[in-house]
Amino acid sequence: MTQEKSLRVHDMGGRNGLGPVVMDADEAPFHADWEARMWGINEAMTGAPGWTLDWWRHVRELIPAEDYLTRPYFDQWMQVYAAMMVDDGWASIGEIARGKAVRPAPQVSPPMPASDVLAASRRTTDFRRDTDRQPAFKVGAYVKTIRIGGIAHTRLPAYAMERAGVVHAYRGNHIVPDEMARGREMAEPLYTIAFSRADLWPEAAGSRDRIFVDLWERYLEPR
Amino acid sequence: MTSYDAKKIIDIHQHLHSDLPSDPALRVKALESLLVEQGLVDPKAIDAWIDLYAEEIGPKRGARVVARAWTDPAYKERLLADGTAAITEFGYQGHATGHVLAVENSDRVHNVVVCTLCSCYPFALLGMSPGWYKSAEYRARIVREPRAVLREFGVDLPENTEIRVWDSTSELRYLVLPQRPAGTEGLDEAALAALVTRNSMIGTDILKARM
Repeated sequence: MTQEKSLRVHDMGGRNGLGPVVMDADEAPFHADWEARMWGINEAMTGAPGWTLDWWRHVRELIPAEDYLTRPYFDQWMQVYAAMMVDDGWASIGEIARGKAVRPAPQVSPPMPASDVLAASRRTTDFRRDTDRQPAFKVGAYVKTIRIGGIAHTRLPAYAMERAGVVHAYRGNHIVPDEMARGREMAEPLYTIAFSRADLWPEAAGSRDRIFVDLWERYLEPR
Repeated sequence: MTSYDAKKIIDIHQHLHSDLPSDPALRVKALESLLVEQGLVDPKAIDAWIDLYAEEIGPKRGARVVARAWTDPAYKERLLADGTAAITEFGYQGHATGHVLAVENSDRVHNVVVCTLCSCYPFALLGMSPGWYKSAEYRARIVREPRAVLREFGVDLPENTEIRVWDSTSELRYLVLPQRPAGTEGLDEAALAALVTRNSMIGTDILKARM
């Protein structure tokens, strides 16, 4: 068997041993005040220049497994911000624990005022980039995914590693998360790959269901 | 400077685990106090974001898009061709909707959306995501045993319906276009929108016929 893959706690797809899905009783957006505050902090706070979307995800993925599996969702967001602030030298753990600054604050421009929130909420981010890169695979091509191990950030889920799939669509050249998590912006072809459920799971033989996963060209090989 | 050093972050997380208060409400309160004192966040802006996502931005937006697609074939065509442009016609563009892809249910195909690696979701179109969508149970099981999971939601599909599970691993965000329920021929767009549930736009609900 392949070593390393599927060991990372956040990489949940296909993990066995989990019970029934617990449905929400209502469609309320927040279920506690602190959840709403954490969401709002995430939206309104001034971050350090190096905090990319995928660095944020990577920092969450590195939360110790016991915390990742047991701490409430928005509490994990709190821990992500705390860890990023400590990493950047913006605060010490003691300052965060006490909610009180000891040393001078980082020198940044004033934070988002309430009057900017509506306009900010309507801004979209385009992750495509114009590059000369031509897609190496055509729609309908048979491909195989590679294996990626270790703790570095990637968006290739373990269940889809070293599996055969078919190129369902080419989506343009998108920023590569594996690089963005290291503060480097570069773009390459992104595809939606269709996997037969039967090819992913031993017990699903004969199933005609399919799993579609968006994957960057570096995750793919011809077959 | 941001280190981009995973080992350093693991070490910081271990210290946070032992040194922060364990109650999440206290942890978030302490973080907000510190950020306000440091001039990194304006609490009134936090209030404004919460109000916006509590009152304004929610699944009713997606429901209107779905109802329009049911009643206006040209709009449906635009929605399937370029989801982001189509929701922008309503002014619904915003967070995590830069690359919206609508996937259409039919008698032969049922679509369902997940993010197995984190919790990606089209916020500006559907609002805050439900707790179950972010749960380990859903993320782990929907890509492996989709029929069993859908049955837990009360969705029992015939064996000859193909289930398509879309794992949101990139910045593409999927919107399920549910089938228009039978018996709704006389309803206008607003009445149709009122029938569309949040879960039907994620793929964990099928809208019942109206008799």
